[in-house]
Amino acid sequence: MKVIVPIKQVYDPRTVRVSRSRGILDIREAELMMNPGDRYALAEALRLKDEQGARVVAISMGPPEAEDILREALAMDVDEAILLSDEAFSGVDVSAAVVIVAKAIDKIGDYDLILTGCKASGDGSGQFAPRLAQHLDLPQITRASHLMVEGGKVKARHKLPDGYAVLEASLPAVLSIAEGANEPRYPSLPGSIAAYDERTVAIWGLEHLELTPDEITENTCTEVRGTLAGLERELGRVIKGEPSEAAKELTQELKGGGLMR
Amino acid sequence: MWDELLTPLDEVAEHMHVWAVAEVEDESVASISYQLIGAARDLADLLGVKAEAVLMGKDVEGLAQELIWRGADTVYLLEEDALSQYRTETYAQVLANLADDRKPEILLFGATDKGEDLAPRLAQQLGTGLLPDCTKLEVDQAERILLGTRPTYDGGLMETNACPEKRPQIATVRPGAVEPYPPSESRRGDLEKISVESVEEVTAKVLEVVKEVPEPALRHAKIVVAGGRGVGSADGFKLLQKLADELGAAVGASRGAFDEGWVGREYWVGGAGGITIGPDLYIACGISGAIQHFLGIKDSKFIVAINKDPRAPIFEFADVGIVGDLHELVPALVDELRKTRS
Repeated sequence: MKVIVPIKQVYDPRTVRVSRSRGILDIREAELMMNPGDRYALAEALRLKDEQGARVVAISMGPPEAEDILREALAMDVDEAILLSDEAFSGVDVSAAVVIVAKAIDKIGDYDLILTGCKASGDGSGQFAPRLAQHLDLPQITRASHLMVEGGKVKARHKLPDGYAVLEASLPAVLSIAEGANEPRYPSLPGSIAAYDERTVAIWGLEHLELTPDEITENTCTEVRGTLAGLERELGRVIKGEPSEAAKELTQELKGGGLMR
Repeated sequence: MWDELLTPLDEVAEHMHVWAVAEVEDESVASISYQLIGAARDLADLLGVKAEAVLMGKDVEGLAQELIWRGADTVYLLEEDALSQYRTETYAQVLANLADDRKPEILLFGATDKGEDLAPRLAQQLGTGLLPDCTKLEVDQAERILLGTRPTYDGGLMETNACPEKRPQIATVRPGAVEPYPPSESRRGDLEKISVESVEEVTAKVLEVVKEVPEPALRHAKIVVAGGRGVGSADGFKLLQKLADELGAAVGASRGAFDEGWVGREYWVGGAGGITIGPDLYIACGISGAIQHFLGIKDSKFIVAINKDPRAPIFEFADVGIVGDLHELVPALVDELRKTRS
């Protein structure tokens, strides 16, 4: 069994600021990290490795820095890691990203499952898995948990607002793994040392994927027309002083804001 | 040469009308559908075209009338056994066939469980763009371009997206973003039955649907007082319970406190298997604020953090922070609340 897990590097939402005057993201102090939702997809793939001997391939499209999250995936015990990186890929929308990632998936070939996260933190829209499934002409199960792979089929729960549906799809299939579906994994120390010292991350660009810049342009559908600062969420205020004074100030603030009776 | 230049313009020009794809739930029209037809009505009026609803299912003809009363000029009715239950591939295929045939200018879906499963797949099949999770829809009338605005970065940044060249333009609309029109029984519209061509055999099928309602009280509490490793012991949570009682709040805990065995799993608040909450007021005591915890509470309207460590990440997203020992601050807060009450 071969499981491919496309993952994405995102900004840590706790470190992203919004410039209120300019209405744009202020990423000067932003830190990069693996999209938290993708950890569930990796953990599910690694469970299939442990229990059924699956081979797990992590891929990520992004700038050279995205190699970090692939190293982290290697440290979690992923078998192979591939970075899809090329200047032509920068800033593409989801429909073009699907075409690029699908090319890589075709090139890897001979796969049974593609597991993704549900929605990327920050500015994700949750379109990737359904679009990828359609592009590859494969069945999809979104918000999936409780996977069982057997006899050329995958059975999983699709999370509903008031329960779940049990779906069965023939392999290969694309599944987006629900948040909380499993226990996300974190790298082990020996794994981390090996991931940086001994393992390699392959880097595939336009040529490697046999893509042309025109194909990417043709498959780009949407553009961002503008951004504005949203709801007020400025850096918090810090209350200082002795406990009794701080408690008094906080109580006044909460009452003033109508946050308590 | 001329062909190449004309084709994209022709393609845009031949697409007309605004569609709302209705959702059917338990044999009735889900409320999001009336919001969608209301939005379609407004857009259609701006563009000088029709607002049309697509109704799919089995024995759903009786549901068409109210879609007309709520603003639809036309209801396309697609009834077939294969449509009796929602299935991604079947619904996407049937809608793609209809859209290829009728060439709508805009398609609206709910940013709901079904809409977010279906609309991106359909968009890919039609080779077009999708404006996701819109809380505001506008239209550039001259260019006939839909502008969809959505909140990103937890509402910190509003982003306006457009799909300028591909047609149809697809958008998912967040429930509650658009007011539906009240039903007007004098409104007239057409019902058009569409015969569904046999659908290809689907490769994903529904085995069963299970309803679950395990709703912890924590999820709906207006105020939550939560503790983390800094609480120090199971006894420490009694202190938090006092504060919670004073505020009429529910008590929660971080993953760390749950791991220590100080509270049961039902208290665990957080993104990675814990409960996701969005109270009016969240008071985090001795919680460092790891990313998974943040994801579980980010919808809170106001966050108060009490922590000894001034560099704890929780202060990065708290509205008010107090650097100090919760074992001193929480009792002081309880005292203060009692004082102001008496």
